[in-house]
Amino acid sequence: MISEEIIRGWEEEDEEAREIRRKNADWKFIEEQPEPLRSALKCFVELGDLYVASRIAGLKIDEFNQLRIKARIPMVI
Amino acid sequence: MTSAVVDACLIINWSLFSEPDRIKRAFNRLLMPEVTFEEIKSERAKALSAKWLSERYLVLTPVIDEGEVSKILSLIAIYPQVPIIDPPELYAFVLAKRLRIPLLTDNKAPKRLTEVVPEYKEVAVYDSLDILIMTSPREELNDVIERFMNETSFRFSRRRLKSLGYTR
Repeated sequence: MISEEIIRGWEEEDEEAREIRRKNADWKFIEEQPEPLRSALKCFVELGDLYVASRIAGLKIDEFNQLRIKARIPMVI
Repeated sequence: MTSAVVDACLIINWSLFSEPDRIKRAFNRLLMPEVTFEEIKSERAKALSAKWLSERYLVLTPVIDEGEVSKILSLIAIYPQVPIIDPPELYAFVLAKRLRIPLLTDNKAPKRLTEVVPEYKEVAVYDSLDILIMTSPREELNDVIERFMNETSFRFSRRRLKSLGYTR
């Protein structure tokens, strides 16, 4: 249904974004967070999905976004 | 100018930007499904949405067309490669399709869905970078992009910035 070329393009885009999030994240801050916030922040670094990460954290999107900023993880689009 | 549907993330992100009203240069009214509004909690995003609601610039809408929502969920269930649209923007996407107006979101999934599902190709999906481009004269664009990235903790992809001639 979806061409391999499109999938490859998405994967490259996602990998670039993931690298930027990994590189900029404040890992010390992330590791200091209690669960489930720590796992939620790590999930956000990997996926860049605010909604999914906010559900892991048990927060609304907006509340998780504030935590993301404290953890210095950029939104990449 | 046209109206547009907006999801919660975009309002949250633009509430951190010093010039959120810049969006009014491109869109004359924003519609948001009420269920997505529940995601807005921070003081800044609440303040921005309250201001826009008071001006009747932002309008909350009921959820419509559960059938279309189910259709997209079926596609996601049947084809593992179809991008997963999370609930808040799923409702926003369906509203944009129904009203034939653009969707403003910083999530990649809705844009990707329009790339691969023929019946959704007609839905225009714009993210923050697209909106900055629409609302900024060429000579201001580099400065505006830089300011937006610094104030909102955003990074735009190198490929897209390069295509705009962004050199910083």
